[in-house]
Amino acid sequence: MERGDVAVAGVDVGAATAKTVIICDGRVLAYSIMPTGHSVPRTAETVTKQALDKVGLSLADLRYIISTGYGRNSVPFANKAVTEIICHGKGAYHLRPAVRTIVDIGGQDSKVIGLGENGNVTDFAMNDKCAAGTGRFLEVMAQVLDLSIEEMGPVSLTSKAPCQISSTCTIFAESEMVSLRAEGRSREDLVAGIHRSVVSRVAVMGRSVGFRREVMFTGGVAKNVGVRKFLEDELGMEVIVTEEPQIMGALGAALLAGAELNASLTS
Amino acid sequence: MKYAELFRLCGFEPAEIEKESPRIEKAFRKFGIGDEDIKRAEGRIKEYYDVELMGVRKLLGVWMKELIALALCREEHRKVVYSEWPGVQNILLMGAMHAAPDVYFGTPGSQTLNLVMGGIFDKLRPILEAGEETGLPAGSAHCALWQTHVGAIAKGLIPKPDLMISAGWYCDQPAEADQLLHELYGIPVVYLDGCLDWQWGEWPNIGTRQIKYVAGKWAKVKQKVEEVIGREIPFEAERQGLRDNAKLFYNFNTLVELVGKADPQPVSQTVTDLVYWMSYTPLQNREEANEAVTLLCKEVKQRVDQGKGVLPKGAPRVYFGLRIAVDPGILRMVEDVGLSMPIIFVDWLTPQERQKTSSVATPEKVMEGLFRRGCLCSASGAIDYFAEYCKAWNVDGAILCYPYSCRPYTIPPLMAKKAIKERLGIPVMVLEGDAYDTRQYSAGALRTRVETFAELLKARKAATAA
Repeated sequence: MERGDVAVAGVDVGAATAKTVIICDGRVLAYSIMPTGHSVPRTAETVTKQALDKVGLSLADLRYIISTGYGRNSVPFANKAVTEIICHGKGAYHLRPAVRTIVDIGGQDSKVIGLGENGNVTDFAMNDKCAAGTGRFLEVMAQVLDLSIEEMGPVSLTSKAPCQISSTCTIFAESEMVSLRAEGRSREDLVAGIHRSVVSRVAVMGRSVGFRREVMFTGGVAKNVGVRKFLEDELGMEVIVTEEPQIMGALGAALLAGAELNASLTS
Repeated sequence: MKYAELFRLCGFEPAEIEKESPRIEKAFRKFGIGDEDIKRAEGRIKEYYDVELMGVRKLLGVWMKELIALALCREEHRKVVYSEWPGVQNILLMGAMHAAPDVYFGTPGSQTLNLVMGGIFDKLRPILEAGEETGLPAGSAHCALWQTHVGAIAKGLIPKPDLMISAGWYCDQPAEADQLLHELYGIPVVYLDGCLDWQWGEWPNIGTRQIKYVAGKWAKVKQKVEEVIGREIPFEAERQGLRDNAKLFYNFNTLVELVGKADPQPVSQTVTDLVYWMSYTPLQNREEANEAVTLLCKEVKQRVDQGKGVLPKGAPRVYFGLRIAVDPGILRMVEDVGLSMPIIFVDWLTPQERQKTSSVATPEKVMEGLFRRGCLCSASGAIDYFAEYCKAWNVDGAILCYPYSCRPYTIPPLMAKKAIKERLGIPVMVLEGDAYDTRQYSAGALRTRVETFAELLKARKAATAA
């Protein structure tokens, strides 16, 4: 940062992880990710401090902060709270202006977001109270199969015949998994079946929004190469995943913070 | 029990509170309402209802009186007759009330308990659980309205009636629940059946077959009611009941038009919701209800004339369909994020349909008037009707609730979203919830959707203005 530059931040407190992105003039200076834990205010403070430490700044150096995610209204140092759907739209459009659809799969929810030519959200669909089709679903299945969440993607790509997972409920799918394993189905086929089941849930949910090119995949689950492959197969098109898909909401919040600050300075 | 403040908020004068205290205490004991519940109710009333307006207080008071009357109906009346939603048969009961003032006619589950125990006290859960334990188990797509109906009787919160009128012209749940109560407790039931075989795309053409069938059953229901109450319901009493209902409906219409046409929105829609349910209820205090609505209309008109509102002028307008009846907080949430709601009902006649409706009140005409609301006929009727609604009220977007356990209303929302988007080019959001059970959704999750939708509409409006 140079003298006179102004830093702003976006803080995204999701169900599973909290993320902070610090930007200056639209450029990402630093970001940090950590598990959300039980205290939203404390986690928000810690994750923001971690990001600030990377660039030698303090909270007082941030001129405007926007919080987002399910814990957005519990971030005491934020100037404003904005929903994660709007923030994901801003972040994705900033990185790829040609993006028209975002598939976001986080810890607790999944969303399909439609974007207009100016990056504004035009439509969206979000999962209801069911955890099927979310990161939490994958975590539960990883435990059943004695795999780490990071191992799941590569393992599923080696499958020759993905299992058919018929249950749309996390708990029922867990028992189905146990039965299929007892039948002798391979772990690769089971994991591939799980990924296909997640993708199928999201594809059905997003049908009312539509999947227009380009499609960007965001959220922690976007790091899973298996889910990405099945999503591309299901949609029949390439799906863009950025280097760090998990921070899209926080990035969008930071960009909105910059815009808010500019607007207030202008007025 | 410290209930003076609660009843003051509900428009009671101190002398009336004192006079009514024995009945209040008896009713509250019956429903297990204690000091903690009273405090919670006071908080909810202040948060959700515009108690600055005396008309609103009086309306709340009418509903509190309904709850008390329901609790004491067996000891204060010779006979007890229940009827629930959908409420066309309640219009018949309004006539029966004139013929037999010593008989209690009420709509316990769908109106009184849902609005007062649910909306005001937030104390429906034990009743719903009792319904689940009594034969309408959780997770089996049973409507929560009927879980409340069954639960309240099973728990002994309300007396077993001498007759139940069950509406079978719209969905299968009333008949299923009432048959269960008949099997368990031997309560007599009479069914107002109808034709549930509407064809896709049939509406807005309403066949005489559907009208005549229900109207014919109406005569059978009337005969059974007369037999149970031991009194004839003369034609004049029936006409008087229809006139009573029309009077309230006329006042309600004035209120809906006042609120819907004003910019800024002059009062929260939680208030019109209180009146809506009255129009389908054989109220014990109908005259008081009419006075309250008239007073409210005057107060709202004053706000409109002064340009005062609960939202900024020019706020995006949305049609909110299939609302959550037991949770006024959801309507307030929509208003809190800056969305104006000119209309929130699914069965309000559009101006075009109203012109076709006759003022002659016979069972045939009543049914024809109801079927002009497409949502009371078929899924395709509902889809077309929602689209017509959005057009008639010139809205910028629509929020359609997807009520988990409602047979007729789970079908249309997603198809209506597509239809409205295609026909009118406005955004539509489908909001998952349940009309009668707050356990089925998290208000926090709904808030994210509603806030995003508000941002989306504001951005769209700003772009159009630019």
